[in-house]
Amino acid sequence: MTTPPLLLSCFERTAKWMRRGGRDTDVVLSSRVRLARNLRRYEFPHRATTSDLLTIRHRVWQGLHATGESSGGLSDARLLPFEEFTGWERQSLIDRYITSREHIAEEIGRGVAANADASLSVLVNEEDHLRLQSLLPGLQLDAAYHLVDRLDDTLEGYFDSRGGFAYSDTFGYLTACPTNAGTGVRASVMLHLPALEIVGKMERSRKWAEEKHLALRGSFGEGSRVWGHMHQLSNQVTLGVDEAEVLLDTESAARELCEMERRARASLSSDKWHNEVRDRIGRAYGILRYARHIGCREATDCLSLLRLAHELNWAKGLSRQRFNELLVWIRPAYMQVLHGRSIGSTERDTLRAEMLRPHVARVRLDAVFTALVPEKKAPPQGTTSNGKATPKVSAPPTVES
Amino acid sequence: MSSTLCDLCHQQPATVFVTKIVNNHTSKHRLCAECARVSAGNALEAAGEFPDVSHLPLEDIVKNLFGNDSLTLWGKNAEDVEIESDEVTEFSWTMGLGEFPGDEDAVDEIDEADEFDEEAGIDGSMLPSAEEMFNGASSTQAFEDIAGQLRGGNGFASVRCPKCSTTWDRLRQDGRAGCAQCYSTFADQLAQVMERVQRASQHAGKAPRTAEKRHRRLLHLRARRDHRLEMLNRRLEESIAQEKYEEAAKLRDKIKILTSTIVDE
Repeated sequence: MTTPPLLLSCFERTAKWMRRGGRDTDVVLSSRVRLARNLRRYEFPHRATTSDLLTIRHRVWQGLHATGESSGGLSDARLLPFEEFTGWERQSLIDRYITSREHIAEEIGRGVAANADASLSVLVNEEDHLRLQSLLPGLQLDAAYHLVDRLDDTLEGYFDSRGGFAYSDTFGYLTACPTNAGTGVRASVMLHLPALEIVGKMERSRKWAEEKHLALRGSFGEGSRVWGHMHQLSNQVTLGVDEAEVLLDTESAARELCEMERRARASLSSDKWHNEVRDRIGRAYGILRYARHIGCREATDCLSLLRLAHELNWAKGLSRQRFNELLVWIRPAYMQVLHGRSIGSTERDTLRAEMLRPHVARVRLDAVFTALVPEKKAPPQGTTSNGKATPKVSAPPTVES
Repeated sequence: MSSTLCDLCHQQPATVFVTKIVNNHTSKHRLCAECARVSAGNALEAAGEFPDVSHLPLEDIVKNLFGNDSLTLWGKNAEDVEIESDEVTEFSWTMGLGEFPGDEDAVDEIDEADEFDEEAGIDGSMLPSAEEMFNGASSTQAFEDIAGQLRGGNGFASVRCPKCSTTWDRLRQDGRAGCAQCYSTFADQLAQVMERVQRASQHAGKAPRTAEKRHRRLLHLRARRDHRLEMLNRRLEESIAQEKYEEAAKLRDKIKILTSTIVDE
């Protein structure tokens, strides 16, 4: 195996999920499907010996190479053993939504194999020996599942003669944490829900998802406070249901959340919210446009509001793809990867403001923002909300009991 | 006592001592201050609140961990809050604060309760088990929560996984199995947990092709065995009818052997 080059050259700056594609992209940023698999012969990563961990990783590398074409584009994938990277380089993998905090905390025997646009990847020795993962733009869980399913078949064929995957007829695919056993499928959808947060319906939505055995969390880690109105919807049940059902349940719930968000967005034009929302968006624009230092959290929140303005047709100038890109590019670890060196937080804040300014300069807010005399009347419904969303607002599925 | 390590992190000395009594079965749990705080934070987050737990008084942390229905007792030593076990009604909890022997001042600091002193501890008393604190902030914790309630039976406490020597207690505390074989070692316990955490305890999704093949072969073998049994039984009946008792005895032996052959994985 050749030494991997600097992490930046391993990946395209614009990941697959940031681009166009999938449905409901006015609300949904990305769809992810993860499959948990373990090799029968070895103890689970948190108990395995170092030599076992290294063997497992080596086997996975070999498996991906040996299976060639059928491994879904991972045969020539970048293989990234964590020992060869600095802390912030590993951290940047979290920023890119590739792996988890727990995974990068350990380095020996851990690693990631991913294709250049990160649409398909294998996490080695995370909580389980293998986590096959695909990450696609918009809402398209079925397509994402199809990718990992193929990779799963391929790797299964490879490991068959080498002990095989840990599987039992009762508990399905066996995983380190019994809450993943069964299908081992974790389907998650990243949603941008600013309007639901503003009108205060987030808690209700969370409970509603819970009743459907789905978790709706802030997308930056469990329990942590939500940044930039980004939420992650994912299935909780993995045993007793088949893959199709999990995908269907998660996707239909995601779609209902989209409808709820669209209705909430439409209501932002009402007298009750109009001024407040305009105020918040205006402030966000001002900060992004003129700030000289800006923290990641503040920038994320401001970008989110600016994105909302675009979705409401109150502003023009930035594409969804650019918003997705900026969301990752302003993350602390990723910025250091971009610059190829370790950077202190003060300098990062300056560089972040510099990076954002030219993009935000392209944004044109609509006339109401710049009018000297405050306009009392809210703009008519049809023109304010997103063109795509408006026709659907009239026939929403009733969600709340 | 001061050498006791925390049940969760296995690193810090335990300063929060918890005893749970259900149906006269006692289970003890030991936590360090840090883990107690983290658990309380998780419990609150699960309830949709995001308080800054690091500044929460210990009393509040304990309340959050053990629920509002818990009867709370504060005392210097374990003896202060000792309750005769017959006085304890089912599912009623008491708790108390103590300290390590010889550390007299520690309790006052706790009563002020702004900063949790690592030196001080909560001591022996009747509390819900540590697992009940972990209600559902993450799936792992949900598992621990429910797995904890299974402790009652306890007949399997000494059973170890033959491959990785994980015990049920360890699995339950980690929320993670040690290896694939743990699933067969603790199949019964896990099935009970799965019934509650998951939607069922029987897998219903994709299977590896090898597993499918094995399954088909198994069905095939079973069918063959049943078929042979049927034939032998018929011949046995015939030979009895024809009063060929010697042959019947042979057939009966064959049937006995075949019946006891279990075609299983």
